Amino acid sequence: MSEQTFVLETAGFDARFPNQNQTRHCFQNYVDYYKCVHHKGEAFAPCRQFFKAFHSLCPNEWIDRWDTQRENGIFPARLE
Amino acid sequence: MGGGGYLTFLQCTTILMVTMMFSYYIFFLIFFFIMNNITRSNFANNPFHLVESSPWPLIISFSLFILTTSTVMFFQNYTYGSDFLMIGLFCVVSSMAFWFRDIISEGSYQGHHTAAVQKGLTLGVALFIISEICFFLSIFWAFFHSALAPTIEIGGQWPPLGITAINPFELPLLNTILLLSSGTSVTYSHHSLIKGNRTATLVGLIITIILAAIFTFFQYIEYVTAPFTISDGAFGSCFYFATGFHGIHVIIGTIFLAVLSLLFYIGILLISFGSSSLSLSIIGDLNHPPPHFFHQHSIILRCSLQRSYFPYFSYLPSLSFLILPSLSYLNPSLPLSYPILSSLLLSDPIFSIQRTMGCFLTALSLYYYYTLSSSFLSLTISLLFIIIIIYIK
Repeated sequence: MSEQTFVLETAGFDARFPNQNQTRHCFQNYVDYYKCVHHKGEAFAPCRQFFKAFHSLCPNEWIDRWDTQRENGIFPARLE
Repeated sequence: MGGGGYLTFLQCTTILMVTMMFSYYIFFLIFFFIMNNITRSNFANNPFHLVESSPWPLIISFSLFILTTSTVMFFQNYTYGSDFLMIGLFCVVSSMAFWFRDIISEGSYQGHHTAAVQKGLTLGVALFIISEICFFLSIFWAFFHSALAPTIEIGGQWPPLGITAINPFELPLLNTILLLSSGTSVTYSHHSLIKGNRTATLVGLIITIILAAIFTFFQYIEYVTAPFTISDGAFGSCFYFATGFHGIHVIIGTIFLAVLSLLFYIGILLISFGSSSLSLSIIGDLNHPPPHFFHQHSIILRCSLQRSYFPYFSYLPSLSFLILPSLSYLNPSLPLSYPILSSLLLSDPIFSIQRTMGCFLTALSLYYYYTLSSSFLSLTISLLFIIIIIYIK
């Protein structure tokens, strides 16, 4: 049996979103990741932080829905 | 039906509303004899008004049903939707006219509106105004709920992405200045009335009406050139909800002041010892005018100069049924004689049998003309007229 250690992380505390409702936290990280990618390219390493954060916080259905909206050009926030 | 129907609908409703209001308020002159407490005490040992049975609440509720369903039909582009809307408006305005006619009769001629009753009426108007305040409060609540913490569904921003908001410091600022100015002019008019300056009162009212009319025109321009509609998300809903209801209140207020200024100009007194009309409850100062303006002797003098044509003029509004011939364009193959004959019969001031036949013929002609489209609605309208028949006997 090989020993493999998994490091499990969740998104850290963000003082901008101190309350129980973390919807804006999830949405903001999603928007920030795609803005980061748009300006810096996908290879830029610090953008990974936003990616990990929104994948941790957001329900997968929301991510899928927003991805579809982005493809159709109807995503409700500016990503440029 | 939509394009051509618009202008006809607007013309007819405007003419109807103005005709109905004017025909009631202009031709009710004050009688020689005014009810006083001494006479009234021979009939009632309490100062309160115990109302008689009236059909108008039931009739107006039917009319409102017709109005609401026909409005939906109109918005959803049903066939003849605009025509049914016309009928709905006509029915509601007529029902209001008949109900107000009864109120005026009870107050000005039967002497039911004693001081105690007037207190109640004033309180009623105050409560209605408070309910309107609550209504606008809800509109503002809705706006602030959506705008102060915009949801992620609209992008967490206000205005939402894709909405180009109207610059509030352009036309809307001008509109605000217009309305505030009309507020100052109506206050000027109000204080002139208290002081007894007749010319200044009229001038102030005319200025107010002109300013309000300009506001309405500019608001129409804003609506026509707006880059978003009511269906454009929360922003569109909030904007048109607020400005729409505000606009209709401005229009109602303008018509109200116009009628009042006309009556004031003609010299019809809305206050006497047994007065009744709605305006009294709102213009509270008229209840206690300064003695030099409404002097006791001058009231009697005015009364004696005016003959009462009440028994005949009270039937003038029933001539509004002449609108019925306009139905002929809907179905030119049906004879025009039905509506014309029915409206003539209906307006007979003396013979009740003629009026009954008129109602019946009106219902019949409406039924015939509208069996092509929504027959349920035409049946409701016919039922309404049958109820009127039963009342007029």
